[in-house]
Amino acid sequence: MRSVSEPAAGGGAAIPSSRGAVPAPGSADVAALQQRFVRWQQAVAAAATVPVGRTPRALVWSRDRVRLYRYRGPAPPTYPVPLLLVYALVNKPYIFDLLPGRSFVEFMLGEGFDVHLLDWGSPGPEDRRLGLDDYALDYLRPALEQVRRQAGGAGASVLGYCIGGTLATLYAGAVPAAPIRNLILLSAPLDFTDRGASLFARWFDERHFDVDRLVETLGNVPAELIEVWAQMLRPVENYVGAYLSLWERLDDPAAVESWQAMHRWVHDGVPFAGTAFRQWVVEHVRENRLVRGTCTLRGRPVRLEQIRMPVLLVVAEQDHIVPMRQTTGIVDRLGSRDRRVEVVPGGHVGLMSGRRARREVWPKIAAWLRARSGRPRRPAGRGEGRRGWQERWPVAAQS
Amino acid sequence: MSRDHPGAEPRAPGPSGEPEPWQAFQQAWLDAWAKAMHETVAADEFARMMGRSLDVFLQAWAPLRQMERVLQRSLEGAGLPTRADVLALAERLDGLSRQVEALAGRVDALMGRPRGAARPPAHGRRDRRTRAPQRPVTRKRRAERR
Repeated sequence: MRSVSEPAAGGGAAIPSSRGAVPAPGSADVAALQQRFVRWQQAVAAAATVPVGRTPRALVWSRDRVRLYRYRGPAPPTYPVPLLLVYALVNKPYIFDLLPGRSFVEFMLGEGFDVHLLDWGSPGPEDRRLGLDDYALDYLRPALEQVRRQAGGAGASVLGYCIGGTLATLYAGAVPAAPIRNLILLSAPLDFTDRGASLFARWFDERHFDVDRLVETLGNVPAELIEVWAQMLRPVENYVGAYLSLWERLDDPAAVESWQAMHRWVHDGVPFAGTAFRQWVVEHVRENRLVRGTCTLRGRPVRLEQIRMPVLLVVAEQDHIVPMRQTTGIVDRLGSRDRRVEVVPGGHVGLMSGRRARREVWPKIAAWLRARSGRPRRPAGRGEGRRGWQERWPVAAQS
Repeated sequence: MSRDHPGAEPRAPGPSGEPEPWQAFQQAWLDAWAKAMHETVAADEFARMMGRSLDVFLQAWAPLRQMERVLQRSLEGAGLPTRADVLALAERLDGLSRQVEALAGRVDALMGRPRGAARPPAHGRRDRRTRAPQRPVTRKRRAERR
């Protein structure tokens, strides 16, 4: 942080450090402090409109509110096995494509993968009866089939993040013939053996939390309610620390834009479909059915030992939302011989957005996937140049 | 559920590499506060309090539900669609769109096409039956045709 006398990075008036000497009342420092406060307020207000998810993509399939997108990279994909990204049900999936230079999608395209994204959309009142079974079998399954057909291969790699990972696991465990070549689970909550490890598990305890009444009264669980719960996991960091962080980085436009994009994503949630939420709380958080072997998906038993494709589990050391054990607890129960656990530094969201993610997490995922995504194609020749590739790709609306 | 904020990221140290005194004080204060709050939210009593808050919140909905019922009766009396009717219609539309999708798949199979291969999503598709309106045949155009 600069000292009080240093000029601002943007060439404006001198701006006092938030940690410098306390200025005397009426001095120029007070005016500068006021200016900084105004800029800080403006930066917070502008967060809602900061453009996110800018990588070009085409809409390739849709059903109800669910959309499947295929991203367009600078060159044709090198690897024949496509990659499908599946995100949680309560957030928007642009965390995978937050900003240019900080986008997992952009990174994986650059690595030569054919990247697809399944966007669950925002459930409306008519979707209150959607359960986890419906998400896995009526949306994930056909989307995966579509990805497989588009690429013309035998299967696709699936990367599930958070509850998206749980859904992918449910599907893979219930349908042994699922066309999943590789399964990557990023901080997926799967094993609730230790209910004390997760605050959500404590809060959703049947002694305190009446999930039936909540769902019967509201239909879907509103995004605002989920946001409050999520923020209360770390109230000081989320309600105070986050804003102090912006104050300190206010002179760095790139850091401000990054903060704004993350702020937008955090406050841009979607409702949780009522039935799916009830299933999530009762069958998974409370009864731990997946690990106990009593979980079913529309009558089909979900067996972890039926998951035989290569599996990569990525967990974050400081994850306070999905403690590591909730993901790694299943590793010995998987039927797959090719399984690996990667423990990376950082928190839950840091897997996709932190500065470390691009440096330490994404390359590990790409390297693991490269070895399991088929023989790489030759780079495009003169007649099959990048221009030809881009012309064949009609890019739909961005979101 | 995954929500977090970048505020939790470690702060940059001062130019000397060491945190400045104010920064160190602020960080220590925030850390202590965060630790105390974490212990609070992790306690059973907090979980009970959250449950009670939710009960109160849901009780507050009771008058709204009552109002909704009254409104529903009024709308039914006036022969107008209620919220439930609209929701039922939306669910029916979803069901119909799935039936159409399944039928299209069957047609593809009958015609030997790979299922869904060449078909863009429904809302991005141009309806081929929709043609530009034909211009009326004027005396001049008739003459041109001859």
